[in-house]
Amino acid sequence: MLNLHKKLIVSVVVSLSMSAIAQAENRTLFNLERERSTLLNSFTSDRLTPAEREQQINMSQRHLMDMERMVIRDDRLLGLNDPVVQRAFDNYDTTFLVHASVEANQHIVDFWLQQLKLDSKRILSSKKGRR
Amino acid sequence: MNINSKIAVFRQSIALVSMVFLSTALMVSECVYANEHDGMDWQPGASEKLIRMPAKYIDATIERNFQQSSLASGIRALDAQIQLEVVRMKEAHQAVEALDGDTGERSVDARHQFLTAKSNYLGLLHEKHQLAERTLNKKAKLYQRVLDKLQHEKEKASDPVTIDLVAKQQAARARLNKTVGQVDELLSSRMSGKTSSVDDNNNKPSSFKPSKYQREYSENLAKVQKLKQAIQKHAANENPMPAGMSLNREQYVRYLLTGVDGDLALLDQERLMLGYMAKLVALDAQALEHEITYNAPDQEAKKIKQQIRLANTADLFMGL
Repeated sequence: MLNLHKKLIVSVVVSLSMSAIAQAENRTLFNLERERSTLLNSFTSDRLTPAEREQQINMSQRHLMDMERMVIRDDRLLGLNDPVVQRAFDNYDTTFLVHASVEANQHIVDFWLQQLKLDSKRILSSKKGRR
Repeated sequence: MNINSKIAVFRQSIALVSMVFLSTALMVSECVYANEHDGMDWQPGASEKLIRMPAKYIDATIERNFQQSSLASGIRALDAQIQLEVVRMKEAHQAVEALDGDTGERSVDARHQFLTAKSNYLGLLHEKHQLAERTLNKKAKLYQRVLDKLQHEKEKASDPVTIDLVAKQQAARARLNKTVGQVDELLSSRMSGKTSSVDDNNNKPSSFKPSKYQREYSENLAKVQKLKQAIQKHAANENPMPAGMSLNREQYVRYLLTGVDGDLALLDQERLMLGYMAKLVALDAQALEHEITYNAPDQEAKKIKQQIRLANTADLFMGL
């Protein structure tokens, strides 16, 4: 009975560590995605004043800058055949938003909107409705 | 022991030796199947640890794992028995040589002892061969599994999707590295401007401070490079050079597999030798039996034969 209990604990620990390894492999990428979504929230939030938005965007950019470098330098992601990793590197401009916007010499919000092919004309011609 | 009982014993020896000979000649797989249930086994696994370890330690690790198994204990026990049997066989041979030319019962006894020792020796050797073959087959299967896993990893790495992804990642790395300086400069100027305005309100001087990651990454990077170089230069990480040529992991496992195949071929040859030796023992036993049965009639029979000879009884018919 004791042995069975031990075996059960060992198998649980092994399965937990296996899932932890799988998550650890692309953890940096998940962190980047989370921080990027925070930045996008700052872009679109209507509760912020322009000054607060600018301040939050600057803060997020600082965090994102480090995270983008962490992802690009993460050797565990090299050749990792995972859909999340594939998608991230298929779209450099949207994944590494901070570096790509500086490279394009554009403000990060403008650059993001451009990547989504959103311009003033399209926004003005858009209609409110239920999706 | 009278002659009849000796003949019975020899018949038993012949049967035993013939059995050894026949079982050696027969398909070994049947014996292997029977031996799998004798409690002596070894269950090696091509674990991830084995795949990742430095190539030169692969066979040593497998050998250590084998030495801890019940199969290795069985082989060691048999080796000890064979050693004893060799001593017994040599003693019996010396006794036979010492009684060379003697045709008496002592000589027959000595030859019988010698044949029994040879028969026991062959029996033990046959058993050891079966265990050795089982070990080598298991090793061959293990090396094959390791090789399959290594090839699978290689195929995975040469998969077009993975190659494409790695190319994209390397291009992204190069592209991002080009803009690192620009990003640092731009963000630091923005943050300094922002911070200084906030700090101006508090009348405190301020400047842009790089993040902990930025500060420590460059410090660690040089050390990481040195550690990588140390790993590459480490003696344990060197490729094995079994035949004076440096072999990579896959080549080395292939080399080990060839070695096992060679050992199996030698074992086949030894099995043939064992069969011939068993046949010789069987022939010796038959010859001895024949000699005892036809060339050495017992004294009682000789006496009776003498008594019933006509010449010896002729006198009884004369003089009355």
